[in-house]
Amino acid sequence: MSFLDLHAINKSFGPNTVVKDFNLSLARGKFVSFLGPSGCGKTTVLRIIAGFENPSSGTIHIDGQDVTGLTASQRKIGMVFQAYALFPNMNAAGNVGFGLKVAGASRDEIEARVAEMLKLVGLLGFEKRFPFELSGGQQQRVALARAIAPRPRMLLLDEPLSALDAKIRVSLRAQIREIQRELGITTVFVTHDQEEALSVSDDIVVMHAGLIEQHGNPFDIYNRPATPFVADFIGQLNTLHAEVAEPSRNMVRIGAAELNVPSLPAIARAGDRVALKLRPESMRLANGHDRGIALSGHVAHASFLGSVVRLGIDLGGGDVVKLDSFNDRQTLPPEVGAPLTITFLVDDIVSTQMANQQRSA
Amino acid sequence: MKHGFPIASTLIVFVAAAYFLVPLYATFQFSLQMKRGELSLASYASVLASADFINTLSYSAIASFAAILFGAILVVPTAYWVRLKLQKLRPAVEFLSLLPLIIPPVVLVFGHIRLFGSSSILPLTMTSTGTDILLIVGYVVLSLPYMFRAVDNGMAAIDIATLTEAAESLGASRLRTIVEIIFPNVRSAIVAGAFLTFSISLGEFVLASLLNRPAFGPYMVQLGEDRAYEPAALAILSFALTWILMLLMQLFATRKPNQRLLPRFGTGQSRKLAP
Ligand SMILES: Nc1ncnc2c1ncn2[C@@H]1O[C@H](COP(=O)(O)OP(=O)(O)OP(=O)(O)O)[C@@H](O)[C@H]1O
Ligand SMILES: [Mg+2]
Repeated sequence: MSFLDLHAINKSFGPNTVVKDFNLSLARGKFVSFLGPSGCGKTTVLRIIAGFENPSSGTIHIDGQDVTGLTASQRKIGMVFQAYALFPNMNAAGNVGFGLKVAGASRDEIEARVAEMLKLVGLLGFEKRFPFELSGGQQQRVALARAIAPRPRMLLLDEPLSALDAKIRVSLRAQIREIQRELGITTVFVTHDQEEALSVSDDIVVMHAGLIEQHGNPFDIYNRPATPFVADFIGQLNTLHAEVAEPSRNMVRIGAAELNVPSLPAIARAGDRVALKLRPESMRLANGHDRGIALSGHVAHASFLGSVVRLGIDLGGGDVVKLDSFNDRQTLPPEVGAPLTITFLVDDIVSTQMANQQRSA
Repeated sequence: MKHGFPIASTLIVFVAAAYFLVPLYATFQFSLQMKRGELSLASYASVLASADFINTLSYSAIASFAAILFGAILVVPTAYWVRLKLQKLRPAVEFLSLLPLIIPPVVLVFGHIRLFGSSSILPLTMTSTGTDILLIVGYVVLSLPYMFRAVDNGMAAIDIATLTEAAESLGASRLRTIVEIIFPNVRSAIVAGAFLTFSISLGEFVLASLLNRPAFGPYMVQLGEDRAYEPAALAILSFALTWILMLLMQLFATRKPNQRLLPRFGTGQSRKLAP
């Protein structure tokens, strides 16, 4: 039995349908991320779960209870906002204790819980600080403590880290995940940062234009994207153009090399051009004892990024692929124009699409 | 790029300042001349010694405070609701709140007298309490443009929609949200509106005199008809009172949420930000 159940949710604002037939089941204690480009409806779905927005149709069940008709204040769902939304007139303790006060907890109880929560987010001793006396990261941690203090059934976070700088973003997301694990609270986390989603989630829901493109664990989402959109949206992809040799045996040809790809679009005919999609990290610089397919080209551009050297390699025929290799103190990065050979395994091909976009649609 | 000395703008400032200060100075000087041949504060002493002065001033002060209270109770939830749920109606509500500036108070008070006169279903004008209520309601209306604007601006400064949602997700009812979150956060705006209300209604004449209330405005006018030097002293006094109110408004409006009502002296405590 799943803990959160969204059934056939639709949401329209006037003539615009921004969420379309959205179905989602989440097991208790899971950390799931909604990931998708701006405007795809992540916030809208989150607000529907929270009760700030009514769905145009569909139902929401939490822990077996139909909450579709309940107001936000009746749902017992904790919420963390992008802009922190701490109450400016209350200090940290007042903010964290607010939900408990509303619930009618005793003073002692509130005090103890506030201390416990502030300790959990690493802000013990900050009780008396007002929001304007806290840094962004500290404010967001107070906001997290405030959301979980009344022991909500679920926790919703809408891009809680996007107003923070990069370093804090990384440390705070780990902290959020740790706290979520410790409390075992079912959590929905909205982000448009794929690295964020991949690094903290049990499950990722990739959304596009109000629809779920794929729901799966980060490993599957990254390595086995279900749709071309997911493949393109998550991570980077290199494109290799090939000519279909024998559609029945999934054989294609790149220059003189013949390769047996995992799959071909059903409509592919012999002689059609197809695009093979591969992750940059699936490609290696040849070092003499490689398996798989080898293609030669020359360095089109090279950038030194510190720990990583990123090369653009021109394989001819308009294909320039990216390739990352780790920095090596003993070896200078290759010069632009230097000839190189790259290798890859056909099993690492993420997807094969028709090169002509119109025909693949 | 640098220009020379801004002669034109300096001149305008001086002329404008003179426009306000010369009459003020003339009034002040005149108020000191009650005793022939010497400058004295005799006219001030005479004003302050009068029982009518104290009585009318305190009557008006109480009526003004009541107007502030009712005004805030009316305006804060309205402005809140309009911002939260009726964004499209905001221009209309703003226009409504400005009507008292367009419609003269005389119209308002005759409306009151007709609506609540002796032959109406609610004959408020028949009792002195009823008339007091009418006066206070009138003051609320007169101060509406300032009160609404101040509070609405105060609400623009905080993200009331998100704060409301945050409170709601923590289980708070609407009323609780207004009382514990919204009110305290627009407090300085309310204070600003309150002082404006106060300075309008303290010396207000038309409503008070047509409703025949023993208020400060009619008293000032009466004094002006009966005496020579005291009205000048009274004008200076009420001018000073208004300025004191303005200063207080500055003091309150710029307070931080954790500051005490009055600054604490002598303890030298200060708060430091964490690194
Ligand atoms: N109150 C509203 N009225 C009308 N349209 C709205 C409203 N709220 C959202 N929308 C529209 O719904 C669509 C989805 O918005 P939503 O905020 O859910 O996107 P999002 O995925 O959270 O995007 P972002 O990453 O930019 O936050 C957008 O096209 C937006 O314009
Ligand atoms: Mg959003």
